[in-house]
Amino acid sequence: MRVLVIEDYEPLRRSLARGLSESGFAVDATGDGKEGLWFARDEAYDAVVLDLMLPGMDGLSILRRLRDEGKTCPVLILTARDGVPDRVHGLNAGADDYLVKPFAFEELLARVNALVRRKYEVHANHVCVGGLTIDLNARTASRPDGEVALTATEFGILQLLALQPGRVVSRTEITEHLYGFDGEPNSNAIDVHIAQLRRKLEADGDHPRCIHTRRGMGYILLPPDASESDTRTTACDH
Amino acid sequence: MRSLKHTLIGWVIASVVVLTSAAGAGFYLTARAYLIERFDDDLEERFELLASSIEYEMGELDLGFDELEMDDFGERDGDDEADEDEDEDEDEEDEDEDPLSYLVIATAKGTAYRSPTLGSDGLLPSATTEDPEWLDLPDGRRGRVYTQTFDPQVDFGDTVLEWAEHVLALDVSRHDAVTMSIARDTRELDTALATLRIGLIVGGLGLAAVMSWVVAYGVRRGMRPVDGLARRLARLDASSLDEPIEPGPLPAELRPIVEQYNALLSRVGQAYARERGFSADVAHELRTPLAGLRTTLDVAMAKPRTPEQAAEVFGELGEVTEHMRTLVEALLRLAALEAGTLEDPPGTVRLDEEVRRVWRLVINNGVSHRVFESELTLDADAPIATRPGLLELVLRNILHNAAAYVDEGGTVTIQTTMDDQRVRVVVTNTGSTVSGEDAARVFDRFWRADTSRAGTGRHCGLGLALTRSAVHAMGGTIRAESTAGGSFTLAVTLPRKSQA
Repeated sequence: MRVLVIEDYEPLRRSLARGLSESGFAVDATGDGKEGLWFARDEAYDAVVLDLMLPGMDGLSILRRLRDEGKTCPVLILTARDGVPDRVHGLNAGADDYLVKPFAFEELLARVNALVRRKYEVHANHVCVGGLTIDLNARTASRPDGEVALTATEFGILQLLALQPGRVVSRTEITEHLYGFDGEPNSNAIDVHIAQLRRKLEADGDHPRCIHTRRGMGYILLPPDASESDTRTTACDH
Repeated sequence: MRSLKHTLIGWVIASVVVLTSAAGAGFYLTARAYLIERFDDDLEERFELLASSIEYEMGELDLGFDELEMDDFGERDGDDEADEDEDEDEDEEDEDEDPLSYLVIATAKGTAYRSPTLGSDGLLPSATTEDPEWLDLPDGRRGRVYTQTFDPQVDFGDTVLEWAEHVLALDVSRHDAVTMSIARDTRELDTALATLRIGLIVGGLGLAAVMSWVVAYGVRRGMRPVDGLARRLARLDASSLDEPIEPGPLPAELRPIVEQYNALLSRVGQAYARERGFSADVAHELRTPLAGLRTTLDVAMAKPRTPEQAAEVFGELGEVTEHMRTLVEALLRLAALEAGTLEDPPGTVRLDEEVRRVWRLVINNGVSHRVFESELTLDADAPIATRPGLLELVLRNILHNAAAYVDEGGTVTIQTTMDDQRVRVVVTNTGSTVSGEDAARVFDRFWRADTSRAGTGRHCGLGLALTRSAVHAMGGTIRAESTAGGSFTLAVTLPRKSQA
């Protein structure tokens, strides 16, 4: 999942970027308002963390511009102003959430995760495909016989597929959501990660395949016995 | 406490009482004069009637008023003696009796007639009077008397024979003049006047009472807007600073008060909003580094860290706390400056030396990593009496500002001049991004031309606000100017002799 942080106070920006990337997000960060707008406009971010007082262009203007241009990326406003009018103003300008400084990083993370889930219209904190359960909060994948150990990138790919079950996700899309500007992978890196992921999830053939390749289009997460037309995930067994 | 209402009511009622009394007295005196005149007219008319009935006939005085209605003279059957006997018994009844008249007719030869009402020996004054006059009558009553002397007609008879007889018999010239006094008691008049007096007093009191009530009611009613205004003002508190009182329905007298009040309210409201804005700014400025501190800690503690990572985190935390310290200190200094409680004893310095010293400090502190030229023209070489601490703060801030914002390869120009009254420091740097309109805003608290430098710990957005407060505390002025070419100038003018 990819997050954009627009915050002008450098120590905070640095810590946010570090914390979010350690939590499995691909993070782009900037301290300048105009640059922030430029990023947010061009990239498909899963969430934007936006400070209000910014050099170049203030946060509310950025938000209004994005909404006017029809951009729907979820925006979490981060500000030191805690008055009710300030919150109302921010939410009315098109923000999806509002967090007042100082805050616990845990809470910011939870809110960002919630925004991401909402973006993909998933309301539970886990997704089940066949026998595979993907816990979005704990960032784990498990089979009935136990947890599958995944790297951050592998889980990232699985999460992206799981959030859009039955939808074909292109390679470009995976690249866009998994890497910030700093970490553009080479062209077959995704294929390599997918191969690794399949190997772990299928346990070398002990489990049926759930990540399918649509040649020339991308990848799709499907229950093992699902037909082509049935693109819905099955309910979890509890 | 003096009450406007009571003062008004008091004055109006006092005026009503005085005016009513004056009007009553005036009316009474006019009515009295008129009644007395009518009384006198009657008296004189009666006199004329009686006088015309007196004539000399054959040398004898003939009173001849027997046929006239003369009841009030006591011309009746009853004797004097009988009257005297009953006098005491009738005293009380006298009060209700008809008014009496009195008459005395006298000639040089003696009294010719005395009306029975005068009793046995009562007389009336015999001096002639122009008009009727007051007198006390012999029986104790009060009345008015009219006395005149006149020559009665002479009856010469109806025939020539009688006339001749008459002339032959008597010497016409021997007919004496007659002095006649007529008086009438004024009981009726007095009663009428007494009734009038009572009427006027009772009426006057009643009128005063009614007027007082009307005035009190009117004043209370008229003052109702004042009470209403007082109640509205009592309901106001800090949250209603932006709700002015509508002067529309108020009377004209209260309008200027309310308008003044509204103007004051709006000024207070603005100051209040400014302070509230400042507090919000302070909160903002402190919350942001606090958020940095907390997030850095939260993230650092989420995982086990290597010593190198830990050292990096500590460095970051140190940077944030240094920023917060600078900010808090600047805020405290600003508050102390604005409250005038900053301790700074006066002293004497040479401005050129001081500028050179502070400039060296600023350069050595490594404010800017850029390469730039500096041109110093320092002419103020005489000592000036000032507050050295404040002066240093001002110089440090304006020189620091120039060094921090000058562009790569640009120039900082520092100039000091002096005359008899003032010293002047002008600092200009090239490469400024402050627009002409924003030049005056550089003194606003937390205003930044380039907020991206906020995080360095040195630019808390208070430096120039502090500078301005310090310059004002020293009795000087500071001005900022920005030209299109990107050169930014700060000019400080200070008095040569320290104020205060």
